Amino acid sequence: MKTPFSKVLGILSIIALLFVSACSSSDSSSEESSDGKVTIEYWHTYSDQEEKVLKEKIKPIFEKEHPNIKLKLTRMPYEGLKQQVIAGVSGNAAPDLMRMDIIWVPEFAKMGALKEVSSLDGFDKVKSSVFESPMATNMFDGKYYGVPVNTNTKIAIYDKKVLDQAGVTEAPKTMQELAAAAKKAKDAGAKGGITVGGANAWGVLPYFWSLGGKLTNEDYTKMDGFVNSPESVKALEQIILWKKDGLLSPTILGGEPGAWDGIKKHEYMMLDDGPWFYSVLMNEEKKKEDPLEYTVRGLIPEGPGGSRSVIGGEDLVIFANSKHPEEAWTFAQWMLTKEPQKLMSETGLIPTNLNAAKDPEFLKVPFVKEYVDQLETALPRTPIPQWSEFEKVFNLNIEKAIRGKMSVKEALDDTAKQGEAILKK
Amino acid sequence: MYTTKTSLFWKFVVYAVLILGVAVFIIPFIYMLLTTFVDNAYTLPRPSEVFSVTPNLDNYETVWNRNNFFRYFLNSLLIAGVSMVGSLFLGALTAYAFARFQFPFKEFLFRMFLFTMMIPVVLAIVPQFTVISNLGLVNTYAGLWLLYIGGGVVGSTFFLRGFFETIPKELEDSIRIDGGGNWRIFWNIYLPLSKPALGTMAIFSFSGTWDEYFVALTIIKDEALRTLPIALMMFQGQHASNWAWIFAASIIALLPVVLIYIIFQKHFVKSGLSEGSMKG
Repeated sequence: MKTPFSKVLGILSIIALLFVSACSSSDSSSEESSDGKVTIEYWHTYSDQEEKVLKEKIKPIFEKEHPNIKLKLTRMPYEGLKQQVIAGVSGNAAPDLMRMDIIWVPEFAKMGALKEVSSLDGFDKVKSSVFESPMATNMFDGKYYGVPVNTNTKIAIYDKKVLDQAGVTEAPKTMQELAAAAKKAKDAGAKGGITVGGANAWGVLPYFWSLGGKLTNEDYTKMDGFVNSPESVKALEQIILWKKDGLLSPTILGGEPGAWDGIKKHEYMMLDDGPWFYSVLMNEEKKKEDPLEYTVRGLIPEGPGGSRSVIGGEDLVIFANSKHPEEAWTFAQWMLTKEPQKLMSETGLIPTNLNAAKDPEFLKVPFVKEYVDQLETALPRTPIPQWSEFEKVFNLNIEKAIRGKMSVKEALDDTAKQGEAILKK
Repeated sequence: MYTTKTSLFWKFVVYAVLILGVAVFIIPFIYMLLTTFVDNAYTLPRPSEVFSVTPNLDNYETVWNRNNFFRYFLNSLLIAGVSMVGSLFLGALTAYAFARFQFPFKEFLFRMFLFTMMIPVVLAIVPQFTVISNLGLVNTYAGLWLLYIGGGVVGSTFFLRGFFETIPKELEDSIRIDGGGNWRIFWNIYLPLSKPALGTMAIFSFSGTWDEYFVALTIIKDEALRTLPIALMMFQGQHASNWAWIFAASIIALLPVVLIYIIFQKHFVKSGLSEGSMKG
């Protein structure tokens, strides 16, 4: 009995040794402060081209201007990112800073994961230097928990060929003109007219808002009487009417061809999308056609609610358990100044810094003007901690209404009822 | 009993069903393979484009040189390899104990073991992370191995216990007569006779950890230490993804699993090793 047992022990200890050696070798790389520098870790989700600018331009300049701070960049994949952040926060392993989707900020702020920045030195200066609506996405309970690092919105993009075939000479300015153009395009043989990305908030809101719909009251505290108001019902009914008349592309219910595919092949008349439509398609290596050539851009057509697009983008937040909050704040402030904002805008990201966004050099990027113009009237998705939860209810009911499984009134009444309950949480 | 005509008919039906089955399984795979040859697949290419494509390795080359793909490939090999050996070895030891030893609360313990298999990873991730963090093993492969092997042992124990119990107890007597102990019985009888089961388990274990994304991303914080599934996910963009790249990367990621399968599948056929080892 004794000999075999000692053998097992021997093997176990070899395994343990393996663990320890692996552990120590990887440990040495993660923590270092031998040269008296402070290392701040920055989680981001920049794309390939954007990451290149971040690594090769932003990082060297920042580290040169702040010799005592070292920037550690970690690119995170999207899949399961939220759980990663939650695990990081609860396990005290979150980074110092993160570039986070604007709609997450209130939620994480409510969780107590983020550091409030509105009381920090220099906050007012930052606040006055950036666009107002992106800044507002950082608010929770009257205080700010982050700063907007880049913004975006969607504009109307039309396929030139389809417009020509339909005999439409310029981008529609109003929702009526849009519907009329879609009708003509459809009659001229287009596979789809208005291409709404999907039956969800991000896809439907520009039309819903522009057609007069609303989600909440002004200060985001009440939904009943707003999301199910007669105006909202009318807005959604209009969209469904388009669907019945065949003016919408099949994409709204996930049909094929996809939105980009339909535009690239000149089968759809119009889609609404962000600047990435151009930055991605223009960077294709062996593209057959230049998207700048075969599309026309316009603002989201005006309806009773105005020309209301939806704001996207990312905020820079500092985690509450950051070990170096001061240095992190230094970086956040610096990142919002004109120079780095301009550098990042080379990739098609829209700066939040007013000076950088209005810089003539930036406006020379061939497709950005319409985006900057659209930003002035674009709306943020309701900045409440419960947004993700509410969004699920909204999406489901919208889809049911579009599929005709529920009347518009019923769908929006149910959204209001569930929304009110969610708001109280 | 059957005339030649009917048996021919049935043969035809059986072959038709089999061929249909093969087609159902292989066509998506071929479609995926062909998609990897398409340029600029930011929108999923249509069947007409996919079937008219000329095979080339451009996308494979791009993918291999992007997002530290090669580095992550090696990292994954190390992680999945050690986890496979670890969970198989510890699992076999545990299964041997459950199969051959009598001790109090044996069945209760075994049930508890199985119970841990039923907790979804997403639910367990925060407590697991806290434990790993308290052990100081965040951002180390040791932490990852602890979770992978810990999780894998349960499955292999369950699987191997059943197999061990089919091995005739009398075989042990030959060792006992020669003065050998439990270790020798385990090492010289149980392990060699369980090669088919061990081979199967090795494939499961390897492909399980090779594909694992969520835990790896949570435990590993340094970009340089990341694993292959994380690199795969990096090809999914925020607004648009190049599907040809994603598929090309997936095909590369698939190769080691196929290789492992080829290595261990030999053992599948050799079942019933203990047959004829005893009289009557």
